[in-house]
Amino acid sequence: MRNEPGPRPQPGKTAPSAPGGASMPPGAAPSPSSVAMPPELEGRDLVKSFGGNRAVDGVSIHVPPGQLLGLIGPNGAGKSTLGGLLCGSLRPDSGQVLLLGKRIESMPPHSRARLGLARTFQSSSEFQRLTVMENLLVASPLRQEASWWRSIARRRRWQRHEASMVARARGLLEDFELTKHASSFAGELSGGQRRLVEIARALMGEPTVVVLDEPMAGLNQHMVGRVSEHLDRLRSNGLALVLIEHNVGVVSSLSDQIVVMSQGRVIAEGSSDEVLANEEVQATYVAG
Amino acid sequence: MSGQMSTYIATGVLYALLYVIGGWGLNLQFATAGIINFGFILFVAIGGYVVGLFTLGPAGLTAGQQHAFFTRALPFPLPIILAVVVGAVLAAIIGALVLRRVRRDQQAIVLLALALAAFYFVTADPGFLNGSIGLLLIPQPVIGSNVATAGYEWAFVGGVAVLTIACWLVMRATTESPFGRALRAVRDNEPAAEALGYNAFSLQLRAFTIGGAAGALVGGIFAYFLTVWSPSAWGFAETFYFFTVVIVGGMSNLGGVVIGAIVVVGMQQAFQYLPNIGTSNLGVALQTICASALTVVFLAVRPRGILPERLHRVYTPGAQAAARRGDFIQGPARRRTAEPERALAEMGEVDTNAE
Repeated sequence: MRNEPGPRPQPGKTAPSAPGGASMPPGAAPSPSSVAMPPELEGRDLVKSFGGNRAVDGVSIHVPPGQLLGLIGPNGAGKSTLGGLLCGSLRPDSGQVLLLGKRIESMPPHSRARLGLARTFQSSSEFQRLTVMENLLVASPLRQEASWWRSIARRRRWQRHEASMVARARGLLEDFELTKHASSFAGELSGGQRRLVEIARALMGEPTVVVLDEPMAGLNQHMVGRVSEHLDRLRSNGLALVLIEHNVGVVSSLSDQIVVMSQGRVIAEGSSDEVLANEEVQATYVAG
Repeated sequence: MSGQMSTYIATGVLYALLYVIGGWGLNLQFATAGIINFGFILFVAIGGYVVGLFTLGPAGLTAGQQHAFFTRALPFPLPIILAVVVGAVLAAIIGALVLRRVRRDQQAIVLLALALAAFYFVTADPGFLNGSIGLLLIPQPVIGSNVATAGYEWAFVGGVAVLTIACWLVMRATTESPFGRALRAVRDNEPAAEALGYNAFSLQLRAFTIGGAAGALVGGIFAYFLTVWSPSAWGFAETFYFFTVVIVGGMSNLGGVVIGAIVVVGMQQAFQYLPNIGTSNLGVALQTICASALTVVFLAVRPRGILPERLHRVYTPGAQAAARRGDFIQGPARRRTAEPERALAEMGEVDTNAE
């Protein structure tokens, strides 16, 4: 069951942190929702190196329920690497990842997903030879039905579950204006539509935390608006969201808190106004 | 119809049925789960040898002046059941080693190497499974001898046809289910499937095991029918024929595999009776050459085969009732509870096209 949303923090309530990535800067008042319940997703002092290059260097973040954390930074800042560390496609060299207070940094991605952590990928990752409807059904929270024996011996049972999942999937398809493509192979859709399929798929599994890696890439302005509305609604429903995005406008309008990364480190975090006013951010990202 | 013609047709039908069963097994591994199993023939071989070893018994070995590391005479159908079980267990063991440890693009090479190593080991050691001569005089089911009549051959073919229907039911239930869908998701994008909570290794291992069992079943039936099982029956070219069946017929399409099997067996039979021109092995050589050419042409021109993978049916009965109750609306979709008619109208649209 999804957590009830906590009260939304007011913009500007969290002070920007010092460079280095402390999750809660000294002296800063925590947001009301973070006081009420522990972070849904938390990364502590995460470090990841590739060869001699530190892609993520001591980064800490926390995402309380009902909040959207925007993660921005120039190319090569380490945003997607951090996303990979949180979701399990990469293992950290050091540091911890906690989901609902449970350490998960040594878990494979599928175990993290079963705990309620969903993600989308930087590049399109739809299942090309599955229909759009199947792309959503495969993400059904009833994935235990995907056992061979149940498929053979408990056909009626999974068919009954599938019927309710089909109806739920149709709801999501309608939300993302994909209903007429439900029976098309996902690989036959445009880039923007595939992106929408991926987002809808991530939401199909009833996650508690969603990490979205550049979900707006390839979408037109109309669909950016629709996806933004959808994310806002999800947050209101209590989901914790991490939005890795180049589109600063989208991030600043949606995020409760923004973390700015550069060269693997957090250089600022706080509300959008505070972050965008930060000189170092302007120097390394906004102006650059 | 003369006895010779009857035998010829029965043999052709039987070969087609066995290519269908084997093709479905390989199809599940290769086209549905994305495992390029160039060692598929190894599991066919295992099935043949298990049937031989558990049918001949010490007396059978002595009668044929054969050698084997082990034998025991069991009544039909225990040997063929054992063949399927052993094939599945060995597939699970080999799959556990290869699918976990080896990168997907290198699995094909490792599996091919295993099949080749097994082939040369069995051929080189006459004390293990009677070397290149193989196991001879394997008694056929029910009659317990290897002197079959035309009537028996057709009864045999009928039995295999029933088995093929049973395999079709299992394969269809396997592929047209959440399990099959999860396999296809892993095939299309393994990291994305993992991110949805699927253990890709576990899913692929199960597909590999089922495919291995199907291969062993084919080998066991072949051994029963031919009454002999030797390395010449499971050379690498035989694996290639199974791949031709799947690629030509249609990847991830059970009906396509049937068409592929008919094409391959028809081609084999056509070349088998060519008059000897040039070398005496021309017919056999042409079988392999044409299968190779056909595979290359299809991969280049029609890579999805004669019957491509189709849109899979989504099971929907009951969805309308769920929509009326409004219990499918959750989270962001909750607002549509006020619009059940529209949701119901859209259901019909999708189902009509889903085939």
